[in-house]
Amino acid sequence: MMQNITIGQYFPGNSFVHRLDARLKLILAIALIILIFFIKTVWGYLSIAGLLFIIIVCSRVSFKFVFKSVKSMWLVIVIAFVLNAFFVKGNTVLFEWEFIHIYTESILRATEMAVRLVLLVLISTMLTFTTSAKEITDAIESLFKPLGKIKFPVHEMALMMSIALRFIPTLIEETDRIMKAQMARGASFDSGSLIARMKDMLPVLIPLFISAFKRAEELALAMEARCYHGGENRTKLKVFKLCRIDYIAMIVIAAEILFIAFGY
Amino acid sequence: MNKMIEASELKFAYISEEGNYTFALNGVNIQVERGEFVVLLGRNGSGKSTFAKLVNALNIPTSGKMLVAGMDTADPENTLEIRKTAGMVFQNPDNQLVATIVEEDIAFGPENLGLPREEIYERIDYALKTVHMEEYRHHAPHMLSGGQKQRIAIAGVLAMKPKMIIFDESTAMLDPQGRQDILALIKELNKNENITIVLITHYMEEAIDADRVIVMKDGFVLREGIPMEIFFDQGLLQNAGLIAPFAARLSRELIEEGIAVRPTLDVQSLAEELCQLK
Amino acid sequence: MSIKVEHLSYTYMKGTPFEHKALDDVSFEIKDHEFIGVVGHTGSGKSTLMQIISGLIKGYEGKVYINGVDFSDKKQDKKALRRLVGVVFQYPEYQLFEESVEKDIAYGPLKLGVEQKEIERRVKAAMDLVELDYDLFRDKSPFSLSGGQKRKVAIAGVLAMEPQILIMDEPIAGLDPMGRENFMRLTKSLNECGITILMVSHNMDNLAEYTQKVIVMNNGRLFMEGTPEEIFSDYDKLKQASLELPEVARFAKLLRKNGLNIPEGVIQYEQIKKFLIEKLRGKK
Repeated sequence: MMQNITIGQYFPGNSFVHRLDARLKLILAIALIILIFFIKTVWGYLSIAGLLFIIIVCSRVSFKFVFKSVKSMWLVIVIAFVLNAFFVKGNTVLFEWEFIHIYTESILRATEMAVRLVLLVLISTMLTFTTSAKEITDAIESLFKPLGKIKFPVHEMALMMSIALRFIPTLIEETDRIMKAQMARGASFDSGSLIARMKDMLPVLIPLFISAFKRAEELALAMEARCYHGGENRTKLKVFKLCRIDYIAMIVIAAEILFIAFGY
Repeated sequence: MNKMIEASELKFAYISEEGNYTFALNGVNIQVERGEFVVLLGRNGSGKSTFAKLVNALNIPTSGKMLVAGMDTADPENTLEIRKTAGMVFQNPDNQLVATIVEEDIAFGPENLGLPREEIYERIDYALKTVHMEEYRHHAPHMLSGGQKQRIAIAGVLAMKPKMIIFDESTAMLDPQGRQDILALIKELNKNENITIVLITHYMEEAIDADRVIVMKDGFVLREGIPMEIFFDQGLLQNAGLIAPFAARLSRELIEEGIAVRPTLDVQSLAEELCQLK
Repeated sequence: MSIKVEHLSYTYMKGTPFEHKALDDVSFEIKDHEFIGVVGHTGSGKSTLMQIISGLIKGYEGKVYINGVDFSDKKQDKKALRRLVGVVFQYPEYQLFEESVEKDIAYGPLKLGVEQKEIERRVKAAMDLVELDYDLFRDKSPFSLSGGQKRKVAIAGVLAMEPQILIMDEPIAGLDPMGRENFMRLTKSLNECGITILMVSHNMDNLAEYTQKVIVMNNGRLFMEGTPEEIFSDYDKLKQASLELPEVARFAKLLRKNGLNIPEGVIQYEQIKKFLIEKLRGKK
């Protein structure tokens, strides 16, 4: 029922994409995502697409998985396309019917929007596919460390995020199980008005919350039993250190940024 | 220091929302020696798990004293040292793994202890090797079987180099294969690593090889003794809601019927004896 | 109620790299009033099979007939299936959600459209079956109960739907020895009232004592099918499915190896005890 989600999943590997410093990967991914919105020409899009193609090949993650995560976002992409196609005004009318006017410009704009979204999904997918949740949260913790100086609970936030990520698959499984158990008792989740449907979800949501709380309680105990006492005097298994591949990656992305900056 | 646990007149009460006290432990005296393999039996609600949490300083006794390797759990100064000494493995393997990669999960304890990185890596190596899971180092825990997850949880505790491990129904949610594997591992830890074991379980067979069995009921210790004494005391078993393991039950009932066998817990020796009678 | 499945196949996450064939051409038949044990190691397809029979998984190939009615037919009313088949999941206490025990047990019958008076009767009857005192427990919050009591409430919730077929997935997991015994006895009495039982369990000892027929699943296929005596005598074949013998059968095997000739098919405790007494009484 809910096992079809690949987005946000990590695929362990040992490629250089995997081995890049997670902090750097995070920053570069964000840089690339911002960059998408500054591209002006087809060449710009092609260059980023080419770069992503190389990254995917090098990461040895199967293309099937990558496309699946794009596919899981298809609705958003289609909506973005349609909205742009209908509401962007232009000069050259391509199609006209009643109050609907579609211009060549609007189709171009809509396509560009869709391409941007696909690229955005691809970039974030590649980030999560090649970086474990722990690495991402450690990276965030490390990047936000300066905030700790103003008493912002950086360590706690990072730990919370990593635990949330750890429990997503468990909770998905649990939701599936509870839904089936209630279906077996005659519940149905796909009929009736919106309010009726929300009411039908209660027999799933209440047990799910109760179980989540119970899990949280047990987890807290287990963490305490393993000597957890906050971020003080804590060491880290993975320490970030930039190496050669990191510098190479930086140079490549910098070149890409320059390329776009020169108006492509 | 040869006593791992010294609990004297231990009481513990949960306070309900209305402010009522419910005593889960009603004055318990338990001692566990260094290197022992002790099994705690009793029905649900008999106070076994409450006792385990008191050992680990997850709860502090309402009255009485709990000393772990000589350290008083009521003194907050001791908490970390106690938890380092007495590790704990819980029932649900899903609810005690914190990280999305096996190696990172095992590192959690040592990271909390503030150990240097090289040492953490050494301890991961040691822990994975001891639980026979080396090849799973980079796997995601949620893709493993129940028994494998529980091994990782044990590795996470081993990485803190504890002198004792308390297993709170750690085999309850596993399939027979997983349960067998974990029990074998627990015995290995006791023999080879000289780790003191306190095992809480509902499976009587798991108690057969114990050095000592402690039977609890309603927050009291009903009896303690070697498995042979416990599993042949019919009155005790009935009172505590326990069922004798197969060999114990069969040998006892055959003796009652006048068959000349010796009481035993061991299936193999019972079979041999019966065959010699023929 | 009889169950017949023909050529059932099911693939998880079809068309993805995670594709996994959970069931592969499974056919069998269960007669009215039978108590069936379903065994198989983790991932053998037994849970998928149970969920298909319960109508909780769609998109499978093959046919499922319950009392001759083809429920794999998409036009068939799903409610009718709910009235016939009750399902007790592993750790069923996690499905409780209502504010009172009575309301929670009444949820199933309510969803089936049973009228109020009848619901009340059924709730009482179901609580009686699982030995929960109606007046004492009806208004309590299910969340204030002990683990064992919670499980009783959850099972009563399924029984109140008055199913003709009861499917149970590892219902005794996590219970203490007495709890396990009590539960098996309850199941047996339900079976004697005419309910067909399908019980998935890892506990071979219980299955050997209580069931009339055992189905063994392995790698998505129906691996063995027969009486418990037949199944639990074939040690080598069970081993191929990574399954163990029940304790008694294992002991009988050990005795045979040591030269005491125990007849095949001795798998229950009382059987072996009786046999040993008759054979060995008075010998020194």
